[in-house]
Amino acid sequence: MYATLGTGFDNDVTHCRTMSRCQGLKVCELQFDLRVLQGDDLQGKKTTRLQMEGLSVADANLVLQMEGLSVADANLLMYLHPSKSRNVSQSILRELGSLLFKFNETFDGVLLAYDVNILDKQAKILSGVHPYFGLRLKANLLLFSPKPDMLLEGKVVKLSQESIHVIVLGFSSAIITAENIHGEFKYRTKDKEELFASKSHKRHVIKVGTMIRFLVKSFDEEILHIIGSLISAHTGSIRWLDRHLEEDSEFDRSCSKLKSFK
Amino acid sequence: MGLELPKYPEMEEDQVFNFTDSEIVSHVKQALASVLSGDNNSYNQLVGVMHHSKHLAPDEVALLETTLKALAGAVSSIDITYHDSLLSAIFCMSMWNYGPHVADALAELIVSLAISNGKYLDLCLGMLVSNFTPPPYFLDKLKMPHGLERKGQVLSRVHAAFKKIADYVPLAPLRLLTIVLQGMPTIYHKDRAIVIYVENMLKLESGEIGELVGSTILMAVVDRLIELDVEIGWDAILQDDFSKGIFEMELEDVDDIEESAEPDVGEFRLSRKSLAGNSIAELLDNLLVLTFEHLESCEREGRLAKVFETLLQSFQVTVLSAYKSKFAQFVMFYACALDPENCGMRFATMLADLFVQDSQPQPTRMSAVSYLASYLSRAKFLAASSISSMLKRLVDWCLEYCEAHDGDINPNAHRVFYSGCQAIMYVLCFRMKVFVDVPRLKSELLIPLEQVLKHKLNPLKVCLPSVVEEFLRQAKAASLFTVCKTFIFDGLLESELSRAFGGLERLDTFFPFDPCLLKKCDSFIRPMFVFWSMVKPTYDDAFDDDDDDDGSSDDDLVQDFVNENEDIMNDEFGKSFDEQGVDMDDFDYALKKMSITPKATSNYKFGGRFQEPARMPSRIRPSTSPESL
Repeated sequence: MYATLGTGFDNDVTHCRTMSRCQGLKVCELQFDLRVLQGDDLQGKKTTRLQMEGLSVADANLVLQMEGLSVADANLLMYLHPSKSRNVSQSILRELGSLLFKFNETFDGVLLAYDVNILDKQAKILSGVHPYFGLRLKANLLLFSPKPDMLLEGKVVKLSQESIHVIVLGFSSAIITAENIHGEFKYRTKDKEELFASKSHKRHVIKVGTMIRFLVKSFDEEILHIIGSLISAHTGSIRWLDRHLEEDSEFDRSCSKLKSFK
Repeated sequence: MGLELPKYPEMEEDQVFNFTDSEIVSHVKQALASVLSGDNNSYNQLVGVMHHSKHLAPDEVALLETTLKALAGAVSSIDITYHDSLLSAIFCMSMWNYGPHVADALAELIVSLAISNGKYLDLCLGMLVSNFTPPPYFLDKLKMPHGLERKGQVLSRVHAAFKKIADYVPLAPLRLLTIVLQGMPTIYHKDRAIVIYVENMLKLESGEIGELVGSTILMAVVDRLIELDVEIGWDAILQDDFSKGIFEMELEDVDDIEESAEPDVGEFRLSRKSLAGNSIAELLDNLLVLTFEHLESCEREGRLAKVFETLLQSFQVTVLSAYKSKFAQFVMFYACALDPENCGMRFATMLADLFVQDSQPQPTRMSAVSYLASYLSRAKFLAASSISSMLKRLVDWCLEYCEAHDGDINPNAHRVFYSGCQAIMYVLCFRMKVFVDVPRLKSELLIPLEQVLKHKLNPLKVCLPSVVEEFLRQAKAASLFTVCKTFIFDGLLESELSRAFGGLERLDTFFPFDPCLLKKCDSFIRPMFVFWSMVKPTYDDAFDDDDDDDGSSDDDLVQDFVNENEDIMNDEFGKSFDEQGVDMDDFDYALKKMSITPKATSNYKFGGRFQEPARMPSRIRPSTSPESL
């Protein structure tokens, strides 16, 4: 099955700009940065290619353990206008570039990065009214597709009694409103700093700058806005959760050691 | 943290309550929640408060401010379906109507709304963008100190709000971009609104959000400049006048009308242009000045190089391909002038690259070389070495072309070549004096050029006679090389052959950096500009005068114009048009004189005897050779 992508004649400039606007986006928490790199395409011509700093799309799934991120092997069929025939590879990259940071129903997710191989050495003009030519592509796509009940991680950027604002992967904003925050968390101000602190675990604190893990309630595909919740277990400050889990597992290990001694 | 809530509608007049912030917030939340249960009373009061806009009493102002602040705290209770009247009331509010406190509260509410739910993001951004321009009644007050103060207050809040929203919703700038571009007043809004809108766009470009959207915004500004630019066109005016196409203009009767209308040209022009044409020209002038000032600020902040790359790209996409752009290209000129070593050279190199690329369409290559020629001639800030290196590139290309092509004159087939040759000659008309004194340049540049010009393709015969004539005159005076054939041009501006290589677009008579005719814009460009009167030709002026003795009445006319021009340039150089007493009539006249008007064609066709003196490839035209008449 090939997914098909259309391309328009007049979109050239906008695509160009789409590519360039990726440069400014900083995906800060996970320490990778999307940017347009120079690379060589199949024909050996210089083209721009979107990659992630320090890791290619193929490695991404090994490194990123967060739910909602996936790497897809996609077979694509892209229609290009004949006016693009002078520089096919560039137009393909532009076309894919125009899909970045937008929700795409075909991919069922938001395209974050791609790495593409052009399979056809010779493209065919399709019969019919449109003189577009179709190209078969094989692409690795890094997709972000948050679904309800997935656990996501993000950084708290604003906190008030009403809500916690989080940014996920540096581009998607999420909000957790007061009614979606576990009653165990209590809002208070400490040295003019607003924070939510757990009643039972004093060290479990959420404030601006904290990385938190939260549950997805809904996802606005157009704006890429997430409504989240901090009610279920395993949500809250990642740092605290990890340490807590480590303690748990250490406890488990010591228990099992004890068992083995027995 | 207590806030006094004055006179809430349902309260008794003489009672004053003290409420805390959270109490007011919960009160508003209740009002919002009551809608869901069907009780609209307190909600309607809330909406009513939002509709207070003009002539507010102090207590009303306080009430509005408090309510807005309370709503900002209760955004999570706002529902897009139940509270649409409240939302639309909020989104219709204009910060221009209120003082700083209400504006602050409103901005805070908009930010809270925008980040609370994806659904409100576009609406909030749209509301902020609509605050770029004041309500119509305020436009006249903008120039007054009070108006300026209000403008500063509003714009700083709007841009601060963008920044905050972008901090919490990282992709918001991309949505903002679409909204800004869609909301941009079209060229049919010929009022000041577009100026202040563009001012805001440039402010966005220079802000933090500009990192993401700046290039697109800048391109949109340039696009708008070019749109306004093409609105001011001789083609349009002539067509309007005679309801005929550009080709029909060459008919004799049209020419007659033109000639008969000549004496009272001032009025004739004004009656048609002053209303539509000049208001656009004024608008364009203001926008160009804004852009220039923006470029200056970019230079001060050290990011001119980055901005220049965008400009270069947009120049290639829009300006270069626009049909004989008249003014928009001065943005490039000014940017180059701010940083001649980098931007200045980058521009020239880009144009030369475009010219030599076979893969580019012919009109692009010819336009590029026209821009290059005009730029190298007119830019005062360019070093002689840079000009010579560019010229050398052109000469080398032409020489290579000559070697590859054999055959006779064929203006159509070798259009690009002829435009290249003309460009070289044009630049040399301006700069020859500098080059002849340097032996190395003479051998590297001028000797290969001789081979090109004497090739069988015969560029001297094809290129614009006025350019060739001036060039040969200077070359002869500098004893560079002699041409055995005598060229009889009859002092023509153009010939059959030059028209042929210029093609329908008339790229043969395109000199984009001829003196800028927009008043304010000119005062920016003037100090960096080489006027023809400032050029020291290689020949002696005394010799020039002798030559002119047998000049016809036309030549006198020409000479008069030159003198007049020189007077202006010599005596009043550096002053603005205003100081020179150039009013709009003269401005119109000056506009008419631009070398790039298509009118040249019609005049030529029906006898070289009527040569409008100023209609020339720049100001070269006045050189009158002995052959003329």
